[in-house]
Amino acid sequence: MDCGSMTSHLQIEELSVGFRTLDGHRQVLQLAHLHVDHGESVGLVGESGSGKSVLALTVLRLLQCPPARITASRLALDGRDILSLSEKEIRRLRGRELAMIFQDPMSSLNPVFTVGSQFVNVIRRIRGEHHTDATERALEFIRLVGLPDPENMLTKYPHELSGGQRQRVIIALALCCDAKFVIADEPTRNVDVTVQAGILQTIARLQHELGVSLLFIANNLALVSVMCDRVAILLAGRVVESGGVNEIIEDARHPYTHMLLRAVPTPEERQQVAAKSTAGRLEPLLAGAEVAERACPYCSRCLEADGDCRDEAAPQLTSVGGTHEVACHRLATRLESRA
Amino acid sequence: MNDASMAVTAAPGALATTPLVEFKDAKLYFPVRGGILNRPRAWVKAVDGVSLKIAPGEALGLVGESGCGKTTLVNGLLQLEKLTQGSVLFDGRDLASVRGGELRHLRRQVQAVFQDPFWSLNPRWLVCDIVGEPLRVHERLSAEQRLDKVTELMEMVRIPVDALFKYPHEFSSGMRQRIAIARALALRPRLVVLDEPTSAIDVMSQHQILLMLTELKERFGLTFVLVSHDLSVVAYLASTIAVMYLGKVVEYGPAQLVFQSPAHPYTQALFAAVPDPSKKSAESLVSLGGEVPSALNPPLGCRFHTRCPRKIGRCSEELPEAVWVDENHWAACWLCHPASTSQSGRDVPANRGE
Repeated sequence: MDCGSMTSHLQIEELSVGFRTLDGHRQVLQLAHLHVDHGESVGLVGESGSGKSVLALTVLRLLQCPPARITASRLALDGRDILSLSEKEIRRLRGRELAMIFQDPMSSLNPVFTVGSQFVNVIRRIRGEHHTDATERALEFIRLVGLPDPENMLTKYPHELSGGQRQRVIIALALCCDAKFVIADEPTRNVDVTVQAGILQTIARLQHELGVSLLFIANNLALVSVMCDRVAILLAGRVVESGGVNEIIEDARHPYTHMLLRAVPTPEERQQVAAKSTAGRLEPLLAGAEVAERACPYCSRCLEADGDCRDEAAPQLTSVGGTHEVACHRLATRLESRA
Repeated sequence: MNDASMAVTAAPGALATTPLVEFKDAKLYFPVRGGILNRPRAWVKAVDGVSLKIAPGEALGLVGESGCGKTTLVNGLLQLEKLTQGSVLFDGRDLASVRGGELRHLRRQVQAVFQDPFWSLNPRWLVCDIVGEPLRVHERLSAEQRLDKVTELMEMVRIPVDALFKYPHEFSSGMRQRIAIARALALRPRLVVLDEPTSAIDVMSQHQILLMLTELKERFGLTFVLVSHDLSVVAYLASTIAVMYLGKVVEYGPAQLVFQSPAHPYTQALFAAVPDPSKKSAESLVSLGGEVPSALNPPLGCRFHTRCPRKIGRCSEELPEAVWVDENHWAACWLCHPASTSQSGRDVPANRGE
């Protein structure tokens, strides 16, 4: 994906992140390339432990090094190399240009301060505004995320709000200092589907209204299909498939993506499932099988894997048309059988 | 897995006339106390008159938003809460009247898997002790026999046997939930209550666990009560669905029918809010406005009318009674009441006959 190499909002090339542990160095992220253009929203999908959140923390430079070790041939926000910035410079970046919507609204708001004072503190610190101006701005953003009765909302403590309201407060906090690049790390985890729908709509609306670039992290392909223009599927720290949302959903090539899609049925599929006329297949459990250390991250669970998959080094991303890229050894064989 | 114990459990259909579980107008209220005498000043009506029957071999999916009373209802079934009014029968016996050894015997037959596998497994116990605990309590087995059984259970839930001598913190949440399932199945119960079994797990392991549960259900002829707000979870497991809103069941029917033609506007809203790969933008999701009203003071008339997109005048005045919309499928909504058709000749759905 060499398109937009100069203009991308976030550009990542050859990023590798590892941690020093008692058992030696552990590699958790190995990204060949990933970019987010201005105003674009890119989804990052993967199961827990695939390195999604580590990527978010790497971009924000919130990982402590050591124990973390980050190397990248390029990790740039708006053309500026994030890794070479001093601590003071990166602090200026956070909030102003780079913001994050965290996963757990329970622990990302301070329970002993009112919503209002948390807003005012952030706005005063980042924008240097007076108390009254900051309050005005807080009200504006509370209105923007669709919370009822903004004045009253400012005087409340986080425990007085419902999960959905809290998450909206977090979104408003992330956006209130005009950050143009926002990372949303599973923003609708632990909320009901009805509330989730409202929150997703709010994020999508604000993204367009404020012209924000969004990196949307989720474990659910359906959320990403609703929110994003492009998707990258992450497994054990590697991208196994990436491309436009439609390409991935209608023409998924990696067996893992197929599995992810089956986990979130469409309404028609849901009816079939409810009628018990279709069901998925259980992954084989090859816990003891011999797998080469650098082999394909999916080979021990893949229904299509053969000996080569377990012995050879992990496959590289190869283009299957346009921006659609897949990393799978069996890709060629499957194309042959299809032809 | 001896065959004698399985014969008792695996008889779906044969017992279709007697439900395994029956809620009879179950009500669960919680007092809000205050004043000098600390008397109840008000009641939170968590479950407000639920009548349901669960046939052996059935899998009932209880669906609804948080705070609608679905967990409270199953807590009533598990006897973790006492019903304020009404009764819950297991195998024809009123659970409230069962005591001592008999209750102990019943507890063997009803097991639960709870929502959060981080809290439901003792962090200081080895996995083999956790899974073996029900066996230790209820069965007289030597340590070796118990270990054999535990090993068998671990294979059943597809966990490598080397996990036996590890602690819960060494596992991912998906694996931990499998351990909880193994523990629930250790005594070959007849009924398993699954309270949001996959909400703490990512979709990938969720899918695998659901497939596994389907397989186990068939294999041991289990009856499930599944609590979930996630419709894909319910679609995989449930054979019947009860949709709850503010302490009441608003729609009930076979899973297939409810998914094909949801009758109640609340069910429709729930379905429309679920993101799926066929939806291309956030606008295509339908979000319900507002929050669930307080169960302290539920709205008059239909409880859903404050948020209902299709409300009519009558909704805010009278509580709609349940009406049949199809065979075995009823909904409590005025829109489903065809004013012209009379309901004579059919059962009142709330006391539906099997």
